[in-house]
Amino acid sequence: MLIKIENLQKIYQMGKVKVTALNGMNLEIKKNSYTAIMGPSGSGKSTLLHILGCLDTPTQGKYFLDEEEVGGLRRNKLAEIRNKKIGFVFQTFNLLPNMNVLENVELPLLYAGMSKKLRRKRAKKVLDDVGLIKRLKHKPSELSGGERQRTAIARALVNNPAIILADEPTGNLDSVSGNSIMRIFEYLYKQGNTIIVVTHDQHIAQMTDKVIKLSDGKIVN
Amino acid sequence: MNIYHSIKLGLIDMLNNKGRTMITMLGIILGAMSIIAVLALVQGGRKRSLQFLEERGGVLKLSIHPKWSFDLETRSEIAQKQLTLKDMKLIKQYFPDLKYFSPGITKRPTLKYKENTFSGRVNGIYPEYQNAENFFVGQGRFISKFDNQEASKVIVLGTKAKEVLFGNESALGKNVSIENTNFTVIGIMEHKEMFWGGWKHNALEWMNRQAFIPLNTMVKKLYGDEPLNSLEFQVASTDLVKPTQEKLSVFLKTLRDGKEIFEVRANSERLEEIEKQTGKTQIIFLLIGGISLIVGGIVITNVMLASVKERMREIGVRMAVGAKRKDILIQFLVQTLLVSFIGGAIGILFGLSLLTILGKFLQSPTAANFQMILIAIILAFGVGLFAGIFPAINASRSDPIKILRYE
Repeated sequence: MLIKIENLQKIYQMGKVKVTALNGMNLEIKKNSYTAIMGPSGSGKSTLLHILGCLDTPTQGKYFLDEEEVGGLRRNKLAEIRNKKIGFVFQTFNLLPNMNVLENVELPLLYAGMSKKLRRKRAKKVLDDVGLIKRLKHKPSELSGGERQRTAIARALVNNPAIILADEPTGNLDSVSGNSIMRIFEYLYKQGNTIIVVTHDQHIAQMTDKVIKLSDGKIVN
Repeated sequence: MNIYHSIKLGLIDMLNNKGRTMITMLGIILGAMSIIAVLALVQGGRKRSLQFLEERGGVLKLSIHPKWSFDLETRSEIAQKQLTLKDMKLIKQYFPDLKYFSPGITKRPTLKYKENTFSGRVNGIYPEYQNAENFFVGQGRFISKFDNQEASKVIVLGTKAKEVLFGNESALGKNVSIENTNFTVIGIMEHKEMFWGGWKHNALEWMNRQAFIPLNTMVKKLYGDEPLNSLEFQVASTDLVKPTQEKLSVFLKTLRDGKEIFEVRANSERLEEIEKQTGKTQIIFLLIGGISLIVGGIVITNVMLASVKERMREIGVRMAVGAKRKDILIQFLVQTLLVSFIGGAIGILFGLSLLTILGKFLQSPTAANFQMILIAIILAFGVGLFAGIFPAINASRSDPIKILRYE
């Protein structure tokens, strides 16, 4: 199992009120699978994705990534795991506006300590894969929404992650761009990647091989 | 994450926010500028003082003078026990290492040439005067040992005395009369001048207003036996100044039955005074420059804190793709250091140009050196480090999930 979650709990303290975002969740995800997480707002989708992405830590329970327990790791160790094993794709792309496409994609490799020459090579290869090889020197503001998301996907792929996590990747795109992004995900899945997508969109969910439905912090299907 | 990348990011951020960068740098620029300008001015003043000292005989010069006393009785006693040539011979005998013994008797008679008259100091001296005083003949020759032995009626004029008596006419070989005795002009002293900041007045003009005749001539041909007004000589090296000064004081006391009639002055004492004064002024001005640097530092801290807030999203993204706390810390710290370093460099350049203008305006010498530039850069850098550390820690402590959840 690539991902194994046991009795996962996440409780937020919002002022004086405790909010239970995840309530005792168990989940297993295989290598080279394509999973959709669905559910209404407030059902805990994003929280689950953030914990899976090591951006957040659970209040209780265990999280094994690649056989390693990562639930209670320290911040620096988590940063390392994010850097090496996880590729994030956000709804709002989250590209750095002052850097061009190539530099944005190189960023994870920079933090991994890779040499400039190697960084360039790797970044150019994934940018070629997502069809942006002619846009290397463009700033994000000079790109269309679809191109921005493709840049973000390239950034997520560049460090050869164990899982790709996408949070509503087509939420800010028109349907044509959205479709092209989903085709890229499908292609990546067929190449052997493990993908987890948070989405509201039934069409997207239909493309995946497993759908997890959440409600009130629990898996309901 | 390497430093080069941080520097590049810092530069990009600075270029993207030119106005903000300028305001951030202003304090550092002003601080570094004032430090350079002020240190160079103070050092210039010191250099000028040392030069003045050199013109007045250098640091190896010692001189014996009658002590000043407010008490009338002591004063008349001092007047009766003045220094004589006999004392000089004894000192010479007991202090064989001293050189250029230059005794002097000073009178203020009127010098005449045709219709022209000049009132000034006429010094009866020995040939050693030139070396003892570091004041040399410029034209013709100086008084020789032979002139002194024979009590020749020869005179050497200062440039001002020559100008008043002879105008543009040549003076060498002509006769000047003092108290109805004719003296042949054998030489003209070199011209001495030095201007303190902005003054039109030549601080060394009094030296040009002197005339010199052999001591023997003065005693035998003009005024009879007179006590010496001064006795000057030089020691061999600077480390001998203090011990010689002390030993001489004791020796002179013994010569006058244990009474303190004379004091031995050293030019090097003035040197110490100059150094002390320079040091004090420097510290005061450094403090003032330092305060403006601190104010600059506070501005930097403020701007950086705002900048961290503004760039929260960026910090979150960087952390999401693997930046560790230390990477973020270094990124922001490097940026602050960059601002203060560039600000410091601009401040130094401005300071140096301000110096040229100030130097001309105040007619004061300035002496900027590498050491001052280094001090200014180090201070600017230190302030940058101090000002940047808090915002940088602040940035590195942020929680990526809290930032990214804001979407």
